[in-house]
Amino acid sequence: MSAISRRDFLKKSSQAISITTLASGVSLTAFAAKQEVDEGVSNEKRWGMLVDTGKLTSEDTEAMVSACQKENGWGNEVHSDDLQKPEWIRKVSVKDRATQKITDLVLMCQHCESPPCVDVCPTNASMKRADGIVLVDAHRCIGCRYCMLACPYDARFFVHETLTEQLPHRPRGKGTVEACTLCVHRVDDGKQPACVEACKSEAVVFGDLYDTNSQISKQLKQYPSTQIRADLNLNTGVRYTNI
Amino acid sequence: MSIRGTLLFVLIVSFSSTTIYGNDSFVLAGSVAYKSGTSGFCNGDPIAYIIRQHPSLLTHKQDMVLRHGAKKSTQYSLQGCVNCHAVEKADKSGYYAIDAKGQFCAACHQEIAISLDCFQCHRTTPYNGKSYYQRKQ
Repeated sequence: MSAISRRDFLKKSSQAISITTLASGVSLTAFAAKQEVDEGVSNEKRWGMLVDTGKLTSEDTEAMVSACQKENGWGNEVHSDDLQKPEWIRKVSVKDRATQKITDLVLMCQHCESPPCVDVCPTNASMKRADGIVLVDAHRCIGCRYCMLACPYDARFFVHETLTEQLPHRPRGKGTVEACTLCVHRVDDGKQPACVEACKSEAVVFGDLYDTNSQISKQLKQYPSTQIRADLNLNTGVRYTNI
Repeated sequence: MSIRGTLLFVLIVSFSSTTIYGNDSFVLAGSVAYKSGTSGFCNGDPIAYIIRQHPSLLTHKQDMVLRHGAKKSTQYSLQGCVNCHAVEKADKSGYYAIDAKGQFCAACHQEIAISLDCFQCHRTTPYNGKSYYQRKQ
């Protein structure tokens, strides 16, 4: 082999190196797969519930309450007194003062579109998810209970005692505030909230409010329905008929 | 390279490697982890990575799942840790709480004196009932 000059050697080797660097770069980017990142839910859907108080029976309300207790692990707070005990969903009797008509309904977090609890929370623990479900991020909750004051439906509850044996899908602990989550762990899996499934008469309907073909949208379009405390303009996700 | 240089290089590399800190013989690994045969790794990640990064891994996961609605999975899930690393009682009557003294978390957290806040709310033992989330796994 003829002797190659130093200058030529440097030229040729730098050419070779630069070509291989560029080539490998091009081929690596060509074959690089975009990593799947789960961005979470979007506001394409808005979850809501419609309660027909005309069809709701007392067995239904009891079944709904105990289904919620079983699904989420509340109801066993032995060290809390009656005012302190959480009631994520409860039966409420409403009497019309003019007509004296009594209506029984179930009341839970109404998952408002403009939730007062979210407005007042100092730490952004009280939050509205993109799909309309209002939640308490217990990692951020400092237990100030401002959201409990702000909620017009008295739907938020402070945990006063040390809890054990929490359900794995529903952590809850002393010093934070909790409320109905619309069974977000079930909803995210395509199921319905536990209370809706427990209601044997078809008094409670759950679904996507933005989907015009969903049963709830069709019923809301067909029958007159109201929000509780509609005067507050909260645009609740939970609506009632026959009250 | 000189012998001294090589020796120095070997010593530096070995002290900066993770094998020394990955020695988990002093940690109560947990009933399932002990039998899993994947010593040195946790679901594919090296233990040293998990030790160092578990606060941010858990924080990111909680943020994405709770606030953004990402799909729940066992990867970097606190309940995933508990399911593997909780120690079953000798009489099979249940599990010891994972944050109890002498259990898995305490091995490091007691020594470095950083208090654990997770288990005020999160379950400390694996769940054997028909919880919805458990059924999914």
